[in-house]
This record gives sequence, structure tokens and C-alpha cells, in this order.
Amino acid sequence: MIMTNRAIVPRRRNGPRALFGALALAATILGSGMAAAPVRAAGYVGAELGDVKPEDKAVVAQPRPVQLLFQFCTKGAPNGRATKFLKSKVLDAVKASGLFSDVSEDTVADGAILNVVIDNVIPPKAMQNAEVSGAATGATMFIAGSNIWDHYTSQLDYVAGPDAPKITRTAAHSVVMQMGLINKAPADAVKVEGGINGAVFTMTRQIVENPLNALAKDTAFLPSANVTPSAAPAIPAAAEAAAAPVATPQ
Amino acid sequence: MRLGARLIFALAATGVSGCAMGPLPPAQATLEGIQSIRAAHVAPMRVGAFTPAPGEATQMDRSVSVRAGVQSAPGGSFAKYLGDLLEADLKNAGRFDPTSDLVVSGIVTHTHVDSGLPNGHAALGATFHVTRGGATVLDKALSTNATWDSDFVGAAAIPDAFNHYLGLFEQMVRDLAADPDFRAAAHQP
Repeated sequence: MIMTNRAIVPRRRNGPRALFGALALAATILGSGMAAAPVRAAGYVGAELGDVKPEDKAVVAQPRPVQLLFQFCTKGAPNGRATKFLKSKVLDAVKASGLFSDVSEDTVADGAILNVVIDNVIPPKAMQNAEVSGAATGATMFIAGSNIWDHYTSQLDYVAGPDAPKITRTAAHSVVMQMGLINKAPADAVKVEGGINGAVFTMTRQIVENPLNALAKDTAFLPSANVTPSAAPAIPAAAEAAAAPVATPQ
Repeated sequence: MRLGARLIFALAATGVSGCAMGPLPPAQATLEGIQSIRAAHVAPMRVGAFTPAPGEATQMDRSVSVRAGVQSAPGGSFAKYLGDLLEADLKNAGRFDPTSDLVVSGIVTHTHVDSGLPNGHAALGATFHVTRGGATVLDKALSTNATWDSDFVGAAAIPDAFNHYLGLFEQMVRDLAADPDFRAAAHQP
């Protein structure tokens, strides 16, 4: 799987080892029942993407059908279970874009394919601070809090037909989980309903719809160029660096 | 995240379970695989039997183990999974014909996965047979492997190893589609 991590802006934040440290220690001391507690913790998504604003949405005059392929990866390796878990959310996001007349998992008449890959990545230095804060949360029986940042990239490839050139957009996003009783809201993050599941689903929707909207503004999206591009950038400025067009000749 | 998403998905989607990993979804096409087959300009073909060779490949055909984790094969056979992946890509590339006399089949000859430290390893070997009108036009052995940073913690290392192992099956299909001998043997007349 070809994924590029260049769009990720390294940030010094808590990482996944914090979650593990907390879980492992708590589970060891208190038993496995405790392990469910962090899952009910508040869920946040990074503020870098957000939802596509109505005024920024690309509009396709004559939408055509598309075949959707989706794969979730973990550090570049296909993750079948997570793919299964999120496939319907990706399908919903693509349908909700209104850019296609039909979104199918099967081949479509024109041979158009939208390929979505979401990769769970580890930005450089993301692990550095994790062990300390995770251990602190675990050692204090989840009283001292930790914010656990989980990073994702997406790559959307679109081919309008069997012989059409591939166009690509990428984006980066993050999910934040709060662990522990005493905690502060993470900076640069937006709280979402539904805890961890809600955060994962929101991340999925936003990391698909933003680059998809940018993709639809590419002149190669439809050979007939029946897209009405907005004057506004496809993706919020704060996320521009994370959602960059990629020249990908076939 | 070695653990973040893995734990998110493990806990939220499948719940905390024992050593057996949840079932995997059936084979699905990939854009890379479809484009590889489209670029190969092969004739429409059907997919014959994909089976494990005797020995290690047969022992690991129904499930594979890493440390205390066990992953069952999608559809009950990893060898069949390889064939299913190839069929999915052929179908999506418009190169699948269940009535064709051009047939590709395969035998998984080597399979391996571990989550050693500091690196995990996975390997897959297979021999592909292509027949046209009953006559063999290709017997080709291919192999692929992967190496990755393996975690000390099993909760991270085990699913990571399975993910990389399963990724080899997709890679194998792409390797076959890109293989010049396969392209020559299965070319569009």
C-alpha cells in the first residue's frame, strides 16, 4: 500500500503507548473490568480538518456513478477488521458528497473508481512522551489524566475510466481520547458526541469528505469538466499542508 | 499508533476477546491490483483451484498463530483467499470470464509469519499455473515477504503481524499481474 506520511505535522503529544500503559497497569491491578472504563472516556477529533463548509463544496452538474474501494491500514498494512468496521461510514461520506449519481462496491458502467485508503500512522516523535503520561495515568488508577492522540492519513485516488489518469488527494487527521478523571480538554481538538466511536466516525467522515471535495475540483475529475469549483479553498487553510494534491501518473 | 487504533477498534468494534482474532472480511479488489491487471493486457480468464502444498502450507492454511493469537483464514483457507483476491481484481478489471479456457490456478508453497523482536517477518510463496485449452502455458513460482518493527507488547504485535501477513496476499496478486512471464502466457490473442 502506498501511503505518504509527508503531510503529517509532527507534534509532541501523548501517544498510543500512554493508552497501553494505562490500560495494562490498570488491568493488572484492578482486573480486566477496569479496562472498559477508558473506552467510555470523552472523544475528540483534531481541529485540522472539520466539515466541508457548504459554500466550499464542489458541485457536479451531471454526476456519474462510481465504484468505491476502501481499505483501512495500520502503519501501511491492510487491516481487514477495521476496514469492515468503517466501510459503511466511508460509503455514507462518499454518498453524502453528492458528487456521484450512484456509489457502488461493484463495477460501474464507465469504469470509474474511487479508492479510499485510511492509514493509522505514527508521526515522528509521537511516542516520546507517551510512556510517561500513560504510566502516570495507570499508576494513579486513572485519576491523573492523559490525552491520547492517534494519527491518521488518507489517500483518495480517482480514475474516471479504465484509461483515465489517476488523480489523488491526501489528508491528515487525528483522534484524541481522554483518559483519567482529572483532565483538561486537549488543545486544537473538537469534542464529539459518542465517545471513542463518535470520534472515530467523525474522523472517518472528515478525512474522506475533505480530500474528496478537493478531488472533485480537479479538472481531471470529470472529462467534461462539469464541476463548479468554489472560489474558496477545498480544504481549510489549517489543513492545507495535510491535504496536498499529489501528482500520480499511472 | 501501534496501540491507539488497534485498541480503539478492538474494544469498540469487536470487544475485548481472548486469543482468537475476529473473522476477516472476504477478499476485495484493490485499485493497485485492478490497475496492474488492466496494464497487463491479459485475456479474460477464469480462476481455478488454489490449494496449499503439503506440509507447512497445509498446516497453516486454515489459521495462523502468532504468539498467543490465532487468525482464521477468510473463507476457511488462505490458499483459497489468494485465489479469491485474484478473482476479485480480475472481475473489477474486466478480465474475468468463468467460461474461458484460459485458467489460472495456484499452489501456496511457503507461508510464514512471526512477531519476533525487534522485527517481525512474514513470507509467502506460491506457484501459479496457467493453462490455455488444457495445455500448460506457465508454471511460475513467486515469493514475497515483509519485515516490520515488532512491538514487545502482544496486544500490538499480534494484530500487526496478521495485518502484514495478509498484506502479502494482495502483494502476491500484484506481483503476478506485473510478472512478464504471466503477461506473455495470458496475453490477449
